Amino acid sequence: MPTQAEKERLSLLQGTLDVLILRTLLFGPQHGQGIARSIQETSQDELLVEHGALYPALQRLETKAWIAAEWGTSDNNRKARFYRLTKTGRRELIKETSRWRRLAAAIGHVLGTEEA
Amino acid sequence: MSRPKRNADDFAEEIRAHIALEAARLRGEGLSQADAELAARRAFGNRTAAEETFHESRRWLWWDAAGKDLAYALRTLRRNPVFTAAAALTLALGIGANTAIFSLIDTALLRPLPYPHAERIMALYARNARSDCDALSPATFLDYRRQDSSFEHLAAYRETAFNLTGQDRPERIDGATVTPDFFAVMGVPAELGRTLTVEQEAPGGARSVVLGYSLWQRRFGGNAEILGRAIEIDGEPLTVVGVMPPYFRYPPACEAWRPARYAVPEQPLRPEVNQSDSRDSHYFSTIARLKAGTTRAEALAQADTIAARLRRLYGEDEAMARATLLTLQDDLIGETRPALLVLLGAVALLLLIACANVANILLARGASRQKEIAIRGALGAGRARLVRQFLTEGLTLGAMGGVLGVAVAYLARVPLRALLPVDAYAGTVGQLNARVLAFTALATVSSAVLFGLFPALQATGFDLNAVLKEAARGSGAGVRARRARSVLVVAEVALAGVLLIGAGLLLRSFSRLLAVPEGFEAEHVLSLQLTLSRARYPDDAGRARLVRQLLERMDAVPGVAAAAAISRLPLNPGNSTRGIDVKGRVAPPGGDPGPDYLVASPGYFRALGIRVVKGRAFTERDGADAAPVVIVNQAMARYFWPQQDPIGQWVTVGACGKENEWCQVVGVVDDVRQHGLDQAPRPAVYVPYARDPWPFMAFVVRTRTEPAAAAPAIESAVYSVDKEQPVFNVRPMQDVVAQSLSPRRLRMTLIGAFAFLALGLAAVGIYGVTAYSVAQRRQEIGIRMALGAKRGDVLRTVVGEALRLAVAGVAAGAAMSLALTRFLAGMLYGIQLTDGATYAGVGILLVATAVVSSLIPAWRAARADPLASLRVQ
Repeated sequence: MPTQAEKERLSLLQGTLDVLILRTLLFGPQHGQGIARSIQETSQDELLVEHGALYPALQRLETKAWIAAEWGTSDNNRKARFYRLTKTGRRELIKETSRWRRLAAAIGHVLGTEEA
Repeated sequence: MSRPKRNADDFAEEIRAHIALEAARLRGEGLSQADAELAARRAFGNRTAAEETFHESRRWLWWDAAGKDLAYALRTLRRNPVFTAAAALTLALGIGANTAIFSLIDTALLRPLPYPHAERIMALYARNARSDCDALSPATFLDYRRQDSSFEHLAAYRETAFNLTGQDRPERIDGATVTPDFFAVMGVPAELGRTLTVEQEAPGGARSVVLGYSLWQRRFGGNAEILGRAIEIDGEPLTVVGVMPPYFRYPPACEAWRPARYAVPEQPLRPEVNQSDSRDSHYFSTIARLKAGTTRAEALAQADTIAARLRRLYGEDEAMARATLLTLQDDLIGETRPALLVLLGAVALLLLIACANVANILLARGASRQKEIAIRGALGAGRARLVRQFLTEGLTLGAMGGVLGVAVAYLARVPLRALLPVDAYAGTVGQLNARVLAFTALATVSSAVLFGLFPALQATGFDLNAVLKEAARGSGAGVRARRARSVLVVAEVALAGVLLIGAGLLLRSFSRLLAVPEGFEAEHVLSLQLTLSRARYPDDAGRARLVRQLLERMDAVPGVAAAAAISRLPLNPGNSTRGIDVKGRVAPPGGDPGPDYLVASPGYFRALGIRVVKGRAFTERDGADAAPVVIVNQAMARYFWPQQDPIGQWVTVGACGKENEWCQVVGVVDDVRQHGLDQAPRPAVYVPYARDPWPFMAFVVRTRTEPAAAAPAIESAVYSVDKEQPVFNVRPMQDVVAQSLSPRRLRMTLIGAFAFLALGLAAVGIYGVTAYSVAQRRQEIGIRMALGAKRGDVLRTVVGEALRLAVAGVAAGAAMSLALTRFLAGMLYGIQLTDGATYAGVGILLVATAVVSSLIPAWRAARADPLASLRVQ
């Protein structure tokens, strides 16, 4: 039973990757490798997803039932575990996205005024 | 959750898929199959690490990290040696006390007696108006043996003191006269030779004896050639047929077993009379072995049926209304069971307090370790991992406490043995066997979880933002920790209160008992016991002459003021009651209670300082041929002659030779506590020794000097009359009084000691929480003082805080005590369970303790330089 405080701490550390995963899945089910590749490509190779972090994050999101997973077949006919966004996940994504936008803006303000 | 759990294989599969997909993509970009796979693997990073992370989240590799946690815990504990030592010792006391008491419970209640199928050995009693556990009469016993089919064997025995003579010095040994199937019931074969058997012990045949191992070693040097030889017991030659193994100790303390002369053991006072047909004499114990497959309940039902039949046949004479059937174990342990359970409860409370105290120290440290924890958290240690780290520290501490606790229990086991009827267990009392150690381990682990989890949750559950904010403010940190610690201290005070109230109730009972008038003056009186040999003094006249001679010699010893003989010393449990008839009285339905029957020499009342209230004491003229007279105690006078003068009344006290002889009451004496200080005096009748010369006599000798110093001279006075006459239990009467209280004294001392340990721990707890809170609020206090608060105000604030905790603890403790002390009910004397004085006293003691233990930190706070404390940050 994580406390409120813990949730917050975890979100500080891991929230970034989580929201990126959710965002990627918004375009349809994808397997782990695909998610990693997609984040890397859409961030124009700025964000390199550590695979050691990806799977625990997927695991965590799955536990929270924000995403669901099942085994399927990839485009090139390989067996892979596909993740898709659940209803809860979609809702959380909206929440998280706006939160991140606000945070980013706020940080921008802060950095801006500091420099001034 | 309905989602099935993923297993590790499934996850490994996913990673393989990931790498394959990545390789496929790279190959699409033109790499060779091998290069693509290698690159894919490299891109994935450490596959094993990813799998491990998965494992860890599933806690499958829980133990893998335990070693690391342990090393870390040991490092932390080593860095704080004072804390570690204090916590380990606190736990050692708690765990040690629990282990010691549990080892007794293991011996007495859990472990079977060391006899084959001991659970089938039963003690059989009559259950009637007189007692739930009354002895069977000989005829009833024989009826049972004939009619009861649930028993494989049914045996009777009577504990008897044997005079072992014909050796270099006479010795009195504890022995038993048994029916030959006694050993068949116990199921234990002889270590050497044979036991008694029904076939070989034909009534009236040559008599044999079985020796206990300890007696064989002590008196006969463990020599096997003793078999077949005759030894002299009570002046009668008995052939040694066997030696029992060392662990065989039944009846407890018994060292020799001799077959009964008749179908039942001899009646002690009239051994020459075959009592087998008697239905009104109850003087021996009965044990039985259940047939295999028969339960105790079935056997009891059958015994009750037989009892009912006997009652119909023999009516009022048949005292046996129903039967009582106890396992031998329950029979042995009897009243000790509730005492043991109460003690276990007490030590459990003590351990809880110890845990609270350790948790308290851990909390204090946890608060100062917040930074460390925050860093570890930031480095990615999960909450579970941090909790586990704390638990490992707790377990490590607990293990230290547990090991030390076993040492404590080992040291405590010898003094604690006195709680049990030790002789029955022959050296196995308080063994630290596997079950006891398992209990210790359980106590240790549950304590560790208890005191480890508390700070773990508190320390890892902190609010990061709050910590940051507090760090900025530099004060007020750990409000939450303080609250948790306050709760712990209240709990400690409450638990200590329960123990103190229990101890207080026992203490007050004890002092009530000490204030009970014994009915005699124990100072300057030496007591000793003699069992006159039946072979040497077969008749009444001979015994009466011997006792008169002995008393004359004792009187002649310098420093002796008066010597007298009595059939049973005061404060001696056990009964020798007699049925009574009072001339002119119609007994109520159910009959009058039989008074205690005591045989006394003329000087008895004077020697023991028993007041003659009315009439006269016995004189030398109350001989065998004089007019029969008796003296009664006040309880008897009150019961039979509440409105009349007891002097001159006529009574018969039956069953002892001159059954229907009317005796005149010539005196009334003060009530003597015959059965124990906590037993109200029963009616008693005294008969002149010359009229009924018992073979078992106690002597009381009033001396002008220290009684113990006179002992050798008095013993030699006995030997000067008869050098074959062993003397035993030579001790001052004051020791007799002390001994009658010793089980109570031991229980009270133990619970008292536990209670004071608890009080000490609670004091430490209060001190700790106050000191901590003072340290935390140094700035606040500084500001207040800078604003004009007086030292007295500071002192009052700090002490007041401790007081609030103490009062809350006292209230909770009192409430718990009201619920818990009923388990003490059987051990109290003369006071109520809700004794106001005890509750008030304990409350005051705890509050005073709280004040004293908070004074030092309060004083320190009040003396602090306000400027210095403001400058800290």
